[in-house]
Amino acid sequence: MKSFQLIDARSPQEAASLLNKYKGKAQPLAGGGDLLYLMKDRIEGRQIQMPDVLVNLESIPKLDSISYEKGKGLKLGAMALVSDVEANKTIRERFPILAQAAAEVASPQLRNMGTVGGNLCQKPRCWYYRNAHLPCLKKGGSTCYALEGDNRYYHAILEGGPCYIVHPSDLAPALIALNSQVALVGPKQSRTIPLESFFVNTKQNLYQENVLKPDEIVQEVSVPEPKEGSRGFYLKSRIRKSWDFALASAAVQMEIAGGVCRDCRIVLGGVAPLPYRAKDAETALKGKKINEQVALKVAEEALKAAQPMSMNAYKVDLAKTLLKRAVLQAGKV
Amino acid sequence: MRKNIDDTLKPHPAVKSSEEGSLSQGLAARFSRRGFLKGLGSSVIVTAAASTGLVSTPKVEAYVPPVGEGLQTRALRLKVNGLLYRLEVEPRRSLADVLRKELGLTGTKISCNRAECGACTVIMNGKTVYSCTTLAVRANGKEITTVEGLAQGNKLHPIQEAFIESDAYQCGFCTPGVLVACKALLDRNPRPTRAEIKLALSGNLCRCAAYNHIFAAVEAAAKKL
Amino acid sequence: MANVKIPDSVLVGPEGTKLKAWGSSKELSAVGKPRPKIGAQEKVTGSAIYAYDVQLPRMLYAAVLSSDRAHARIAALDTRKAEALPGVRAVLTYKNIEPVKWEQEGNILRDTVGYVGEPVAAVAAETEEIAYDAIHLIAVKYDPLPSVIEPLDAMKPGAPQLQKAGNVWQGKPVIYKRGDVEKGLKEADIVYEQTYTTSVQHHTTMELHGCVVQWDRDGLTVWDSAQGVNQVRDQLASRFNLPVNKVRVICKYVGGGFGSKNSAKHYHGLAALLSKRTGRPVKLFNTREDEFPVSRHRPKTIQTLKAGVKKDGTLVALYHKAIGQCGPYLDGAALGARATGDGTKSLYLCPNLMTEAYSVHTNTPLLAPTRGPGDTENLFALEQFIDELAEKVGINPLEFRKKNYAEVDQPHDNHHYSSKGLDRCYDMAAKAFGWGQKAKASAPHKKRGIGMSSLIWHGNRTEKSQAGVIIQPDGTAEVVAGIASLGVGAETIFTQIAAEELGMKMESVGIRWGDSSSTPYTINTSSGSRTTAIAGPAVRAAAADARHKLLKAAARLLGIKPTEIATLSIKDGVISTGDQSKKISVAEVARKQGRELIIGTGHRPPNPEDMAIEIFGAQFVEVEVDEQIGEVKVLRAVTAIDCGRWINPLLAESQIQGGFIQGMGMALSEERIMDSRNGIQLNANLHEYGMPTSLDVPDTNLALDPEVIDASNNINAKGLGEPPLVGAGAAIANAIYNATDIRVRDYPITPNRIVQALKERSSGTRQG
Repeated sequence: MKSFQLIDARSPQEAASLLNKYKGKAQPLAGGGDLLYLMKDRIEGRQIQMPDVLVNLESIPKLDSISYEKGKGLKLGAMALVSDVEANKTIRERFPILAQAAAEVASPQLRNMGTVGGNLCQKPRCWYYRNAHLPCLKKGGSTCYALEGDNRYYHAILEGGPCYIVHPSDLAPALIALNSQVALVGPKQSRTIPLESFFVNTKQNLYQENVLKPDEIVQEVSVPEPKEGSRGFYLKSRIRKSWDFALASAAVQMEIAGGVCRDCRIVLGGVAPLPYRAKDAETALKGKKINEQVALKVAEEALKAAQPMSMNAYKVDLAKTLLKRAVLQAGKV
Repeated sequence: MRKNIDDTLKPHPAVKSSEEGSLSQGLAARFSRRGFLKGLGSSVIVTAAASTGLVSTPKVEAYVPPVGEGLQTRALRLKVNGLLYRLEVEPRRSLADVLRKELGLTGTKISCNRAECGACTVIMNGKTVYSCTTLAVRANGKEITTVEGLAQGNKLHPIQEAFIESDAYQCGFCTPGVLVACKALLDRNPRPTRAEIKLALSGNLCRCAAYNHIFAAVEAAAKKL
Repeated sequence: MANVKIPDSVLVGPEGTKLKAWGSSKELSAVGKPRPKIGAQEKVTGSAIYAYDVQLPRMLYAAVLSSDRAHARIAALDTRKAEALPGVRAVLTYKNIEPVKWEQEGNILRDTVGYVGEPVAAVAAETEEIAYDAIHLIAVKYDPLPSVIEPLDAMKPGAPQLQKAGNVWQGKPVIYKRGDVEKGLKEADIVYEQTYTTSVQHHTTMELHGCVVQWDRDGLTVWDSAQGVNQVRDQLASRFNLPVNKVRVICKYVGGGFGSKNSAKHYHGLAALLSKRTGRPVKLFNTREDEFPVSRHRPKTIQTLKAGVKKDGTLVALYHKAIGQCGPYLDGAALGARATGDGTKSLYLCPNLMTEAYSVHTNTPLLAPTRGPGDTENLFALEQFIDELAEKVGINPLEFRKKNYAEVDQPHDNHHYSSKGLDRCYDMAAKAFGWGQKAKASAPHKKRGIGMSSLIWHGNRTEKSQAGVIIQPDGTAEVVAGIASLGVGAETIFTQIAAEELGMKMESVGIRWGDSSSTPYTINTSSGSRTTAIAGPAVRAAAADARHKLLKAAARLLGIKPTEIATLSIKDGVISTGDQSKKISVAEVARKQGRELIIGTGHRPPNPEDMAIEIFGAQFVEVEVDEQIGEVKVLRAVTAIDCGRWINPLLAESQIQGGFIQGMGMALSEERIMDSRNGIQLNANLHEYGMPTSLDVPDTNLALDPEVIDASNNINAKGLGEPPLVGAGAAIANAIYNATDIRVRDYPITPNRIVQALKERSSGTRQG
């Protein structure tokens, strides 16, 4: 890769200040699993340049912490390792959907290197985007090659266009299903927003998948304590059983009593440029007794706006099946 | 006008061995005649002693590659297989590449260079990681174990012996990474189930697909621990 | 089946003697034993040196700039910035490269490119980082030329013509005929036709392709990642016009080959020229991304099968058309990888048969034999087709195959086989598998299915080979063989063969290999599952020669007449007379020899002319399918292979298990995905080109030995490296069908294809 300078940040604010100082020529370095890959492949374009400076987030003390306070919930530092999230006893007991999602990420070594923040901010897997020779739309070119090209695996069936990527994160659907918030830090100010609002589709922003300002970093994700009697489930479909990104995934978190869904949040992964909150599906589930028929209807509602591309129509059925099963699984007493 | 690269080379601080005074066979290999011959691919079978022997030669200069003008280096302390190395490398260098070139520890392989195959697996602060996607400068001060650190002198780790007995390798190129992943597993879980073994190894590809024998080898080694 | 009698010509020994015909391996002491591999210590400690690990003083690192166009002329090429980068020592382009005739390509670097991935420039620099920085400073402007990517498009009128004879190699298909297919179809009760496709499978060896080359006044030395040391040596000597004794190729261990590392490729040439130009050793290894085009691959195929069968299941006519994609030309390395119809010609008894094989030029990378080339693709199609025929007739697939069993080799004058243990394989594997009973699925949304396949792989043709056996002064033996070690264990079985022939313990026999200068020609390269069958008999012959010389020396020492040498035998390193009255150890004989070592050399006798040699087997698979999400889990695989004698059952098991999994990869997840608008491979990386991981492989992966003693050579072995892939695909596809009633005829059978097929079936739009 191109050479760069590595500067150790000592605090989130300092990291943000460094990003500000180097104005677009700096990137934050979390686990490195995605950023270093992109840098080795030299994926750049009019809207993306190879950084001259990497701001080291590993040197920030306590940014990798995972803490829980009964009644309040979970706080995940941006540098918390995915493997630590997966293995955390409290998360397994109280936020099982998150532990399930973490277990599905990549491979054991990447879970030991990858971070919560990095997983949320990772760039898409579209093979046109990741090809250094093709100036695609997202990189500042004029063509989306996937539209009339090979869009079989990692392209959108929902909210696609003008760019048709899907968001590859496993943690994001689970965290959004858990109604998480994310804290973003700039050089002078912080803000906390719902994680759901962190992500954008390609109409909202063609070049970036989230609302981070160029001099902001993710500091922390906070996950509220699910209500008593809550259940959650994350299901992912992929080709190989390790490493592979989701062909589709479904995250269902619900409050259930007496077999009836009181409240729920449903998020699909691998189908849209952002983690797709299926609100109509939630409406179809709320207040219903969970059974095969209801689950089927929920799935239909979730995908009713689907607009498949030339090679990924199967994703519609795939996502429906996963969602149906996740609902039934979460609904099991 | 750019200067010729050779002009920018000043005598760097030599890579110093730790106070114990012994070096990995890799470093010695670069400069000992035996190592030079090894690099030439001698067709004689390497005996046990020669292949794992530690040579006590204090303060040997290690391989110091030239650095392009205008490029910065960063000081680095690497603790690998119980030995301390002091180096200066460019930030963009991967841990895998530094282990292989500067330290001569060519057991760790680079196969995909993208965290997609596991051939570069090392243990860093107790966890398996892909050293190809770990910046060397970020391994500063951390405890690293490579395949060369599994045996104690000529005494093989039970997992290494089990690999030999079970024919758990073919071409052998993925083997160092797989062995390191096996060791990490057995260190934290000395009685793994088949499912746990497969999960622990799910970040290591073996193209020769020696998987079935690998699983058997881990089970055999676990019995001996 | 009875073992075929071994002809005397195969057992010819030194000085008019005859080698002993080995019986069952149970009676042997070294051969047939499960010995761990030689070189084990090096491999498990990480001290084994591969070409990728070689570091020489003052070595430069090279990087290659590859074309990103499928077909173009280089309109402008500016390397000035690259050359000016501090640390760069040489830049090669078509403009400044020495004239070298590099097979059909002309020179190694040309002013046109014919596929994405073709080399355009090469840089040598002080470090790898500088070399790649320099590559990115090279500016290329391309003028596009008309290109064609898909083979069916290339066959249409009006497609850009890539060769003078058109886009079909040699202008016409390769055709084989016997009997009269049209007539046979008319006589049939049922006629059926179907089309199947297989995708490009890459070798994706763990060790990248490349070499370290030093070209100095002494000549050319290459530390190669190669499947042999002789073929590359001979090719480089020829292309660079150097005497063979000035070219040396060293390869002790290679990190995977699978057919991709047999020949000199452009990176050998580039590294050599860079070394010559700079006067320093040059290391050139591909990036993983470049591996995909550079290391080549097996062809994508479209295969149409048509057959006529009688109501009772007899095959009366069979037609197999295979269209295989290939690059803009077929060079030596690529020829061996073409689509063929070979297996179909021999596997089943059928009097009226035709195969028609097309190789179609496209602007895609070149081919190279990929583990089991030709027959793997063929049988992935044929063996699904056979199952479909069996179903049409209403006969169990195993019975259908047995019913059409061919006792003789139909395409070769009905020669008898040197051995054919396919019937034994069917029975053994079916029994071990429990053929006939589908098990209960593990969950309500899952389905279990069972499937099988035959396999066939062409046996070796007669080739010359020689080896040596040195008896060292202490009586230990050392085999000398000019091979590289791929990890399958050839070096190990050679010591077993030598030990058996010498009558010595295995521990007393070592081996040296891997250097074209000091370990002379034994095989050009280890490919085609030939090493055991071609080199093994040469090793036995060399050991026999050493043994003979030992016995003559012992006879002198024991005071035995030369005419009575035949009464001496060697066991566990001790030479004794028949009545045990006189003994002397091999060590003692060697010691007395002093500095005049006993050196045996042996040549491989030719194969018997009237015998056909083929490798056979049967594979049975159980899958569990979650059809709604298209997930296939292979639960169990049972493979029985008649490869003649299993010299080392431990290593044979590794080949069968590993080969099955590689075939499984081709069946379920491995596929080159290329954009047909521009010829760019979209998944040139190891996570989107999906090799099976530990979580994907079956826990039960059995390898069964039908204990066949082959008659075609003195070790009774045929070859095993490639056959285990050949039946894997169809066995899996047939099992998926058995589980779900969904037939997927396009490999790999990825989740999207199953979900799609399921949807088509429920909407009634799917055929069959």
